Amino acid sequence: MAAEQQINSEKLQAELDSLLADYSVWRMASPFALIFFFGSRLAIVTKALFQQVSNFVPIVGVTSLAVIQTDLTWYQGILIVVALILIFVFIAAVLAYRRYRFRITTESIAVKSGILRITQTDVRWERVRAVNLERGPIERALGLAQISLDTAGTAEAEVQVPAIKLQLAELLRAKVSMETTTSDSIREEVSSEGQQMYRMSLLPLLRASICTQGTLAMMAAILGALFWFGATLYNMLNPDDNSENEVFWLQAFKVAEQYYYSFAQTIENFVGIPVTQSWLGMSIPVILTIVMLIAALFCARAIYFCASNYDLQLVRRNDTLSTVRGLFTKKRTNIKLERVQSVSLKMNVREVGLKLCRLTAQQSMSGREHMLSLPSVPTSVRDEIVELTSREAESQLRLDPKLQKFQPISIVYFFQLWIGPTVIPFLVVLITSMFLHYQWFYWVWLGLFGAWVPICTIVALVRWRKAGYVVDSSSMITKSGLLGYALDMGKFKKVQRVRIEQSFVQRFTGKSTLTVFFATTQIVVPFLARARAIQLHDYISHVITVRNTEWL
Amino acid sequence: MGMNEHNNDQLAVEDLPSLEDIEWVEVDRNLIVRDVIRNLIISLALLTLTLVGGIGFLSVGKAIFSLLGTAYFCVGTFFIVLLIIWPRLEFPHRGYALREMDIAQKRGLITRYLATAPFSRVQHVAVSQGVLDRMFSLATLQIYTAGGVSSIKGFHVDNAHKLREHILDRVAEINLKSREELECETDQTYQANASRDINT
Repeated sequence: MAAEQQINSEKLQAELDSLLADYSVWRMASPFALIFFFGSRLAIVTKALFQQVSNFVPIVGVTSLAVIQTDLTWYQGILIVVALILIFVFIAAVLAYRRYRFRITTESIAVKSGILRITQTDVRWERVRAVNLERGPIERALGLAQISLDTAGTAEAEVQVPAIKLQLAELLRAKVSMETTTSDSIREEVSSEGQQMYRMSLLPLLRASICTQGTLAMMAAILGALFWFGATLYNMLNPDDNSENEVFWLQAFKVAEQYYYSFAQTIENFVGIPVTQSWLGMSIPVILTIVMLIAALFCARAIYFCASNYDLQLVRRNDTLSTVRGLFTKKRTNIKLERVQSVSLKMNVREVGLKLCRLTAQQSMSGREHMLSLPSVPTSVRDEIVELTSREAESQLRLDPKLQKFQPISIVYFFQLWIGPTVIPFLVVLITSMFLHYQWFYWVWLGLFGAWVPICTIVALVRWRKAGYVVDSSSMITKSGLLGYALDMGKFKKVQRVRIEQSFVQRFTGKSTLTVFFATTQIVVPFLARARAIQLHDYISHVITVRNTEWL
Repeated sequence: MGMNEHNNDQLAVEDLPSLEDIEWVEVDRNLIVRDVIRNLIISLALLTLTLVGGIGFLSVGKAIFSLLGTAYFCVGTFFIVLLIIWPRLEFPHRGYALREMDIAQKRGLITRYLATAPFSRVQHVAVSQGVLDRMFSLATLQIYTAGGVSSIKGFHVDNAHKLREHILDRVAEINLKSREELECETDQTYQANASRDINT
């Protein structure tokens, strides 16, 4: 069997060598790669348009302006904009194709790409985790393939080679997968003899669902969709209103106005409060609507959370931790203890009260399949997991905001936190009050010194008191938080690189900010004495050098 | 507390090769010119604003506006001058150091950065050149680790490529060595290197 494999790998190597002879010089991609350049650039542009409102708004604004100013209909306006974007993307794709060069040798794969800024990227084969093949219909018809390399980490530097021969792509994949055939726990099944560490029953699940946060972004999206829907409905119901050329949000506003007015009427009829009479009264239906929407969102999120975390089980088998969860689709996540790069613990106010915590342990490759995340579990489960990971890291530190003793952060950190939110409003109010001489400005001053400054002081004080760090010979923990806690733990042998920063203020006080980068996260210690930061850096460098291969 | 625990594994932290003893190497001086040109391009907008705004204020003719106009001019001019002399002021604080096991860099005038990228964590190395860089044959070296990129600006393009080759060779060497040797042996080599560093 082994001999057979040996022969196979030799055959593969020989075949690869003969193929690679053509590829060891800088080559242009095949003309069919134009499809790839066009597609990938179009994807980037579309993504950028819809991901950020700041990109989308000007285009919509300019289109609406153009449509209003000229005789064009909406459809023509949109068509012209789309056509312009497509032409722009096509030109960019042609330029990118003309500049693109690649080279594949037995040691490394290199790519030169870019239109204005030309970047050359060299990846050694031993760093490549996997070669992914992608084949669209045209590539299938022509016997071509697009390869993309997975290099564990740095996503922006991933190398893609479009439209190369399928045979070569397959050989490269075979070569890489042969080099990395270590037993990967991810594909292994969790057997029944594993030791069950925790199982979440229904009541804790409901309790945990209260602790999850409803996201504002989701709310905004749903609100936007509602307005859109309302506007379309309004448009459909009033076809002869010359609304075809009307700006969309004006329509939306009209719909909202109608809705709030009818809501106010209902309140007036049933409760008897004269709501429609004043501007203040009209705000009642608005506030009620928002409260209802938030409540609905909270419920929806809680239901989603319960469905995806239903019957959560945490199982340990030797050095592998697995979680199984889900109501309809069961999801399984496995992590190896020795691969854990960083552990983070978060507690919000509700969790502090209920003695629960959220725990995430990340492996070298980020991504959901490689991450152990436990929502609002009792602290005893945390202690068990932390004990396991600490034992592996030979560390005595405890991931506990109360039991572990932390080193305090310098008081300069408090002043930094305090000065920003207090001094700038103070100056603004001072300058404004030099020009405005109204009676109510006394109230502004009173508000500033009666409420704002005390609140900022307390917030800064609490954040400073809660911040801290602790180091032992093999790992470090940082602590932060205002109402709850956030703790991050990292092992020195997994550190990727270290940075020491000194701002203007820090230079006068002899402090610095130490940032330790891991593959999965970064741990920041603010206002650490510079000498201490350098010492820690030197020590971490030493650990990295001695324990060279243990970062994966 | 943390301090003493370092001594757990019987090594004096003071004896480790330290960032403090590094002899920094200057980057290419052309970087100053390149950065000044880049800043000038950026400040074109600022310059127009300063002129238009200042003249606008001054042309109103009232005393308060002429005061505002002068202030506007002064602030605008100050920023433009700052943008032009900034690269020159920043240059002495820029530097890199190629060490046996890592590459260190420092930069920054107000906020000072000091960072190292250990070779044993390097995934790949890239050389990147923008339009202005090509005019002065400069290049940026980008060292990719699994925990992000550390980029060093202002190499001559030939040096950048040389350095890239060197780092890649070093990476391969270190990987090969660590695969072959046992952990304790690596430790011994390291100690020898450390003592040699201290002696020289």
